[in-house]
Amino acid sequence: MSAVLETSALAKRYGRRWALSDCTLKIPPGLVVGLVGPNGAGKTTLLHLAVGLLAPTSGAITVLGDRPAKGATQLGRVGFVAQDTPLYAGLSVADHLHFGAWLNLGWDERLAQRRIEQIGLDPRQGVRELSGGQRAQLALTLAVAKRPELLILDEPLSSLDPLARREFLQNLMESVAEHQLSVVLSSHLVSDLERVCDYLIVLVSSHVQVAGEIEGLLASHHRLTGPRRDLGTLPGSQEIIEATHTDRQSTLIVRTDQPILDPSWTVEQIGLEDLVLAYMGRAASIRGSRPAFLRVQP
Amino acid sequence: MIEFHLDTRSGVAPYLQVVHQVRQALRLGLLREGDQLPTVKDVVARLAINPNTVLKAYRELEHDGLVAARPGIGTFVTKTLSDASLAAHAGLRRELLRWFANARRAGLDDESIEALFRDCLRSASGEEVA
Amino acid sequence: MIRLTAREFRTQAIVALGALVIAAIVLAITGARLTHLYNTTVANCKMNGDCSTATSLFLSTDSGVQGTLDFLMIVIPGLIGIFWGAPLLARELETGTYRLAWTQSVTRARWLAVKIGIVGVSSLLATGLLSLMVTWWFGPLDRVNMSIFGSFDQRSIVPIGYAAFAFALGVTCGALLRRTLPAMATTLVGFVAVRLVIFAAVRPNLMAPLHRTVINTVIAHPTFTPDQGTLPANAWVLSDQTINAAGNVIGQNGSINGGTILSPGATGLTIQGVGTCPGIAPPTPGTGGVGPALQTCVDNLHIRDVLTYQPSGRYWPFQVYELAIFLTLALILVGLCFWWVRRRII
Repeated sequence: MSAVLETSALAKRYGRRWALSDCTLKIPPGLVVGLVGPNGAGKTTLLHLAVGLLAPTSGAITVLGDRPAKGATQLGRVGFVAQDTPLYAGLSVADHLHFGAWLNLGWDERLAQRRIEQIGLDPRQGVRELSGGQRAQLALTLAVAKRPELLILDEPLSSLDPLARREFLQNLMESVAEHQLSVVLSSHLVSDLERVCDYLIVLVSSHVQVAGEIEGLLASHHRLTGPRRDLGTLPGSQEIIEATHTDRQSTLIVRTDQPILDPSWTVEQIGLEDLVLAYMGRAASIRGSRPAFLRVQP
Repeated sequence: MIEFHLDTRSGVAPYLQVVHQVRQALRLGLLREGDQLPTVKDVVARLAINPNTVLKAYRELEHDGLVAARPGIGTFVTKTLSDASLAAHAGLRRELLRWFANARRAGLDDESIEALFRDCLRSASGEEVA
Repeated sequence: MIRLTAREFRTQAIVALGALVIAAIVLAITGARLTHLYNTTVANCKMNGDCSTATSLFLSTDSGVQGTLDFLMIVIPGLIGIFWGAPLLARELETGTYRLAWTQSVTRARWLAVKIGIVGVSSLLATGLLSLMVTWWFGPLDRVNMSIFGSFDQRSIVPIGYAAFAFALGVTCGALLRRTLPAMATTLVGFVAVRLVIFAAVRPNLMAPLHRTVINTVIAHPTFTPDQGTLPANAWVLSDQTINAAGNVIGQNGSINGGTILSPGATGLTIQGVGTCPGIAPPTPGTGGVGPALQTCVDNLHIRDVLTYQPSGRYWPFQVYELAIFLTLALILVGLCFWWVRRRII
């Protein structure tokens, strides 16, 4: 099974700042991948590397088996919607469809027209008159109507109100179902992604913290609550992601595939948002911006 | 044709919610033998969830023998659950009510009863326990 | 991609075409009139006697149009650079639409090639057409004026080179600065600077200039204009230096640095840095001087004028060389842009 996106120690530096470091991923096809992380974590950098808008400083990246933006064919297999959905302000909706048709060999005009109708856009409308949700839908149409195999979306939901967000995701999922697309979409909110993603990448401070199928991640991460104890007393096969202590109680978030046999722990499932927050917290404390593992609750 | 809904707060995996809703519809007679389930495309267009979720749900229903997928046409109900209606388990029902009365007499409140119930259900299903 | 660029460029192309058509009409009408005037007055002026009046009258015809055309020819290449070149990359980078344009099914190199090709070629064609019309229109006037090097920048083929360079410079500034207004400003400044450098330092030396030594007549006849009349017509005089017997430069344009000084007592004329002409009363301003006697003294003192010039025959070679220089600069800049775009440095 060939990966849709594969990176190997991929890194990108601007001047002295590393926007992306040591990123190694292998994303299987047929999934909706959520790329989540705080602002400035490197999500846009990774996505721009994937569509060939940036060249790596070191490491390698292949998309659909080829170097990104290698040629017209490779470009045609990947659809991209950039952050804030850039469109040509002076042009109309119909102009943008022409744009898509003239620049893409695989352009499906009927599909584009159908989608425009479905969204409820008037082709003669200028892009300036469109709402944020409509712009996002138009940009998605441009990306989908070229019949790609992979869709990459950079924070498509960030500036949308909840209704527009829902409509966008409905539209996106419908396209995924209809055309068997693979999708990579980024967000800084986990709640956006929970509904639609089946694979998660958490990116914090230019490093990948965790990556995997969501079902597997939820199955292998647990919240342990129990009487207060030293961390040194836990079996080594468990990776502690986050630990908080009060005077009486310890709460851990661990990653393990083994069953937890110590009966003094209460083991619970953990939600996706808490999982992501735990990894973000760990990254923050590694970076030194917070004392490690010492959040004392009142 | 039935319509699905998703409760993001319930803690139940989305695909299981779909499975439950199909089973519920079968029990209540809203779905009968030969009826077509909504297409994956229609479901995700309404719910904005991952198509794989719906596929997984339909596969599980197919595995349970309740539906069958006809490639290129759709997924159709093959068996109803109305026979397995709750009324058929009157015996189990009585036993459960008796147990609840016992638990109350032992001093358990509703939440404790529920916690105990879930715990036993989990261990009975063979899932991991601390 | 071609269709898209044509569509995007449509408005500008129409404006340019419209302007060219208007220019063509105006020039056709006034130009015909000008030619007719030339044929009836100046062409026959020698027969009728008074050439200088006929000539000066002719040269001042349609002076408004003359001034406008000369101005346009200077300004248009720069405008092309600013309005057609600078926004090409800058606008896409500034508005972020490059993230849309470069993720369709067209590689960046092809995208840039078509854009530069269509807009660039249009610039060259427009400038070439305009220059053709203007050069034709000025034909009779330039024939009378006899200073083809004076209007070198505004005729024939060099404006095409200027337009190509300005356009390429505009695109490059857009790529480097990534914002439209700064790119436009930088293009203007850069274009003017390069033009000035080439005009002042390169053009005079495109081929080694010729020299001619002539008699100095200005000292003896102050009202005479510096004697360049011995040169063939339309020569481009780069310098006119007065030298003494030893060959040192003692003045410009026929005069002496420091002037000539009348000795007290009217015993003679001292020529600074050279010597004296005894027994000569000073030349009286306005009366034409003491003529032959002073002239003989000047000649005896071996005061001469050295003219450094480019002959008129070199006009066309110079046009070609300067065109080649600007086209080469344009090609280098375009190559640079391609390299940046392909290496994803932009």
